[in-house]
Amino acid sequence: MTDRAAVIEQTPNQGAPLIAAKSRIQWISYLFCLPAITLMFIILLVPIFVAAVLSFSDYSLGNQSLNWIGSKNYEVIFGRSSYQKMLWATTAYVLIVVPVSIGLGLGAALLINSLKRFSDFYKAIYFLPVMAALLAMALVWDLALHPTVGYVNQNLRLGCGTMVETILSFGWLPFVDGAQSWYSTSCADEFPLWIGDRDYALATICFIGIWQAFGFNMVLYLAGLTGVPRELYHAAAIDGVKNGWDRFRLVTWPMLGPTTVFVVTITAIRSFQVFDTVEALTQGGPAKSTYVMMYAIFEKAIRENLVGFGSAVTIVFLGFVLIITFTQRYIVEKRVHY
Amino acid sequence: MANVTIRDIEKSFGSVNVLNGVSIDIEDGEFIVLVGPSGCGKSTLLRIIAGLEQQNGGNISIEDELVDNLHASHRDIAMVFQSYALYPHLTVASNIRVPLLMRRLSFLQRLPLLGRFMPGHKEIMDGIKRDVDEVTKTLGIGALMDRKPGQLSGGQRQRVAVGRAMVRHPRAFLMDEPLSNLDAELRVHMRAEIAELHRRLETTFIYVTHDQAEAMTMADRVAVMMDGDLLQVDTPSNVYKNPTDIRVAEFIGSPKINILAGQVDGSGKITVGDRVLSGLYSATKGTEIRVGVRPEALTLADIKAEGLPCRIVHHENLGSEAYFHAELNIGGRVISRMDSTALDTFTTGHEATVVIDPKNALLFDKEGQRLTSKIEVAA
Repeated sequence: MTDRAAVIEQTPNQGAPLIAAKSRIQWISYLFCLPAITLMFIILLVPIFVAAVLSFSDYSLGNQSLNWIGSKNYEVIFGRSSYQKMLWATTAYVLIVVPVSIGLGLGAALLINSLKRFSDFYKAIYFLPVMAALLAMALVWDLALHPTVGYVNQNLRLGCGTMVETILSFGWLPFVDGAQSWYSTSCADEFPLWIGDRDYALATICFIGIWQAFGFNMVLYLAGLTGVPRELYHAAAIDGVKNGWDRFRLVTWPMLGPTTVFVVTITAIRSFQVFDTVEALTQGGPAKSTYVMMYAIFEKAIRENLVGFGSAVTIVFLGFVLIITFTQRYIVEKRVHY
Repeated sequence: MANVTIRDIEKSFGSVNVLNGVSIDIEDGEFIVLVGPSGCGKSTLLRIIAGLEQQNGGNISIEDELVDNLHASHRDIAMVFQSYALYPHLTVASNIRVPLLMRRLSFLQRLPLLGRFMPGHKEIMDGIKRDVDEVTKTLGIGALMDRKPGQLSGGQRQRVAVGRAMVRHPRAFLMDEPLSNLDAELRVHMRAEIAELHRRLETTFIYVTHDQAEAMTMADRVAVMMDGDLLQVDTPSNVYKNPTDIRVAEFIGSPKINILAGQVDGSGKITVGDRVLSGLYSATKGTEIRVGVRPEALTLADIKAEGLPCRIVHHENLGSEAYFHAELNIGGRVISRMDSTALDTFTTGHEATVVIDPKNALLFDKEGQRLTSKIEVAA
């Protein structure tokens, strides 16, 4: 465009036509952008806008009309106990899965990075859960966690009365009564139902979430580690850094800052979106203990056809994700790029 | 302050030999420059001295104490890297502080948050602050203390790197091409500054560079390395005037030394082409030799003069002096360095005669070893 403008400017004796030509070219440039802008509006912005509008109504799919009910949907979300449970389950899931999967991912990446051999082997192993379809894997977990025939409880039961129980009951530690420990009481009584028990269901779902997410974080950290300049480690050695912890604190961790911000954002957003394990294993139960937002949207808007209410949950969900993204973009990013 | 002894250091990466038994005795307080073309092993040698690389053979001792099995952090030497290797997330003050934090604080005192409640923490930190302030004052970077390395210019980063090295008064300074990332003007300036720093600190400096001008201007002694071998260790003026190896003669000096093929006849007289070099004799008789002549020992004269006839193919005027590139009639090209007034007489395209000053001609045998059996007779 600038080239053509330059050509036109060189043409002599064209005062007014020149300006006209320039503005025409500007219009043409917008015309070229139009398909992209249109698509962006139709596919990205309009649906969000529609959802936002519908969230103030009681609309159901197929209805000819809708009633405006103001902020009633939002009042239900933040007021009624089952939806408070939803917010709590989602928040708890994110707060557990994000730090643990990032810690494990970083740890695995550091270990693999220090290996001279077999590192590809470990990378492949840890990355397997990421590649596998989570829905299919959820079925495997369903079998494994079955209270009676699942191999988790079967194996736990095998340990009862053996050295495994002695070790896992922690009776060998001072001031610990082994008989009161989780393992011993479970042996005497019964092992948990895992996904069927309201006290264990969310933790189990979190465990599967971590199992699935940390391989991905590991790969991101491995990529981040390749970008740490070797000379900084040498400078650290010369400066008197003797142990791995100081080296990590002085060089590795600060240099991984941008990676960490990215990993935290991605993992947090993905954790907010947890759905397939919940749908396959618990359907939000028992007693709404695993009733996460994505599942609530699915249940309300799709199963029960309460599109208006589902839209309201979606908007709340979108709010959470936007908060994370903006925090990353405007607060944290500034502090990790040097 | 310490003497550093390097004994028969060997190093190979896989099947490639990088160092083939290098030995140097570096005296206490000496400024020694390891110089050589890239890939000659000088940086590897420096890293072995630092303890960042393990040698395959030989040993290093500092203050007459073997350090081969000491980790880099225990050798008490400082290093300035080519890329400066400053911690980008730390301010200038924190960067300079790091070596002191690592050495003076215990592991518990270094812990984040908790560390400051450990006994003695405050006194040590006050001492560190004093030392850091002193160093930044010496280097004139006091105003930059709160900036991050990313906000500094190349020269400033360089100074911070030097500050981080000198803050803990190490036994020796190692510098790995510290000036090569600076622009030409700043490089000349920093050259003088580092030499001055050495005079003030009176500490052993081991400095690696591929730039022979840096080597010549800064060093007490220059160690010329090539292909993993140490060719010569001597004062800059001796390395220039009395190179023991033709490779040293060729590497040191700009423009490069002129090498001419010559013969020694039965009586010891030396001929280049068909001309006898008057007044110059060699004890090794009846052999082919190579005659090295520095550009300033090679002058152009009128075409009728006694010497090697040539044609000037190019000249470069540097203001105070001029370089003349001449094609010899017997084949080969030489460079002559003369006062720029010579430009009045000689310019590109002229025929002329090359006259060699026999007093300053260097003789080498066919293998490139210096022939010391040069006998001068008054011409």
